[in-house]
Amino acid sequence: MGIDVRDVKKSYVSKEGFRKRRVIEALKGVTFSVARGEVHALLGPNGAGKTTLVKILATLLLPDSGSAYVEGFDVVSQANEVRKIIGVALDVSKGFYSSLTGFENLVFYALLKGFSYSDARRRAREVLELVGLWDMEAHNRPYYTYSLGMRARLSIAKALLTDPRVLLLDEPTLGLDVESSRMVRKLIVDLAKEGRTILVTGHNMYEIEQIATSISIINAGRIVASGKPQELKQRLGLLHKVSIRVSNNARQLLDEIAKKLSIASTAVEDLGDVQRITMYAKAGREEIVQAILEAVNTVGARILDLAVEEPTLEDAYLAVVGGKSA
Amino acid sequence: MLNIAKAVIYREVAWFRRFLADYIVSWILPLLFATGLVFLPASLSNIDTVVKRMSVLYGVELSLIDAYTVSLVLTGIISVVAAVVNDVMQTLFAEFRFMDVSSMILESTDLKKYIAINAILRPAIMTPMLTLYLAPMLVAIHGLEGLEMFLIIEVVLLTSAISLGIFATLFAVPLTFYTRISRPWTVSNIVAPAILAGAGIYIPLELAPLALRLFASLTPVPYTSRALYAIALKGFPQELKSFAVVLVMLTAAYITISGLLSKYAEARVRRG
Repeated sequence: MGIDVRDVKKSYVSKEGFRKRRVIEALKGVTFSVARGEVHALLGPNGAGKTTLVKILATLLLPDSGSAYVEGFDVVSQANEVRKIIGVALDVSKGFYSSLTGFENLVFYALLKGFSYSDARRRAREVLELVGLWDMEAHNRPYYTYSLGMRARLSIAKALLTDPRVLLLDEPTLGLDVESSRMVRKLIVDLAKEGRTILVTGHNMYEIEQIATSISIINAGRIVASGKPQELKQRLGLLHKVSIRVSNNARQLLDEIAKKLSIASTAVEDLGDVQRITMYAKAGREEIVQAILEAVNTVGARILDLAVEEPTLEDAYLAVVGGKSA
Repeated sequence: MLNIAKAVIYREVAWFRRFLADYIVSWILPLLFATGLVFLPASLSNIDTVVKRMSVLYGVELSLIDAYTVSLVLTGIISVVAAVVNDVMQTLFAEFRFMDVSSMILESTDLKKYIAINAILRPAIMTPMLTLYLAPMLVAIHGLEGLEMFLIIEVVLLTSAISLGIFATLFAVPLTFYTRISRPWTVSNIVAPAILAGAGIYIPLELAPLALRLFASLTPVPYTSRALYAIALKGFPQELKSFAVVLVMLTAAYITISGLLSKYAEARVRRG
């Protein structure tokens, strides 16, 4: 198992004024697991507890109760072992010495991690090349001159510096332009192909759907849904929008499909020589296609075009968190 | 521990290269100050009167060269105290509250070790860099003997700066981890002059308020300045011995308190 989190709870005490204190329950018993080599996305609105969970897995924070393991190492009692195998990117907009260059920041971090001076310099250069900052000649510029995109690249370079088996990335594309986001997404996919376990948090459903092999949705400190994107959408019973263009027997075809599938909001349009059926089917994609093909054979209709549109992850997410989007 | 030391040394050298202009200013200003200390009052009266008054103040018969050496050596301790106190306090604060490099540190090592090594190594690196200007000046004034004097002064300043660096963590750790203060320089800007004034460097010790003298006596600075006077005036090794004894005692006390504070700070930071 890459990551295993069991009933983790975490509360913060927030001071309001001199005497008043408020207890904030950030995590209320979170349980989920990520298989080795998987890209697992942790989705949730702001304040859901995503960053707290990442910080616990990164050994930066101690949980109040429960247990969490990274590649079998306990994040509390075996924190040093965990630190050797993880790479962390938290809040990509900061986290480095502003007056040092990107290269110097990475060498400093590598030396802290126990690299020799020559290895630290070599590895810093390698990861800067990997994220494109070397080619941009940004490695020798002070960090305070970096754009947000460059800062995000440097954060990911830092996370990759120790060649970690597990990557913990907290909203790595937050605030990035299209090009930088695409670069980060591609990098995550490429890293996953190398067999690394990746836990990534975020809000952008489009991005997550492109990179994640499994998803957990966290809301108000609890995991409210978990699974592969497709399973998650199916389990939520979301509808597929189906459009069929046929040359004849549209009504009969629709009746036949209705016997096999639970359908809703049907419409049949006459487009001259052809007819178009639009409907919403509450079933999996494969099941829908199979039912339509069987119905076509039964009524002897001739299909000209067929489109089964997936429900988006955003639909699933909104269904789970009750429309409380970030 | 060695990895933290290597990282801190690397960062200090990088900062030195980046802020070389700042260091050059910090070399020129003390020279002007030292010159002004002797020659500015002399412009109102005459050199002999100024040297006589300084002799009364220090309780030793001084020549013009001695007076200038004393004022030059004094500037060294002013630079070191100001830089060490400000840097140790403000850098830790900036690391955890402004730049948020805390994750880089906390995911690599123990906070307690990091604070201790920073408090020792930063003053140890900064002190020679800050007081480099003393070498050519002392050689110019005293010849080869000036170089020997410079090396002894460096040892005294270095050991004192390391002790002071650990002392500064007694303020830096609570400020960074236990308060909601957002302008740490308001505190460090008071601490450094208070130490210097209480140690009798700005004004004669007899004129310094008791509270300041008490506060300064908790630091190695008054003992360091006495040792420096002795060296500048080619004085007694006894002064150096008592400086060493006091320094060891104070540093041991600082390490104990600072270690406890850092340990609790680490528990607090990781608890969230």
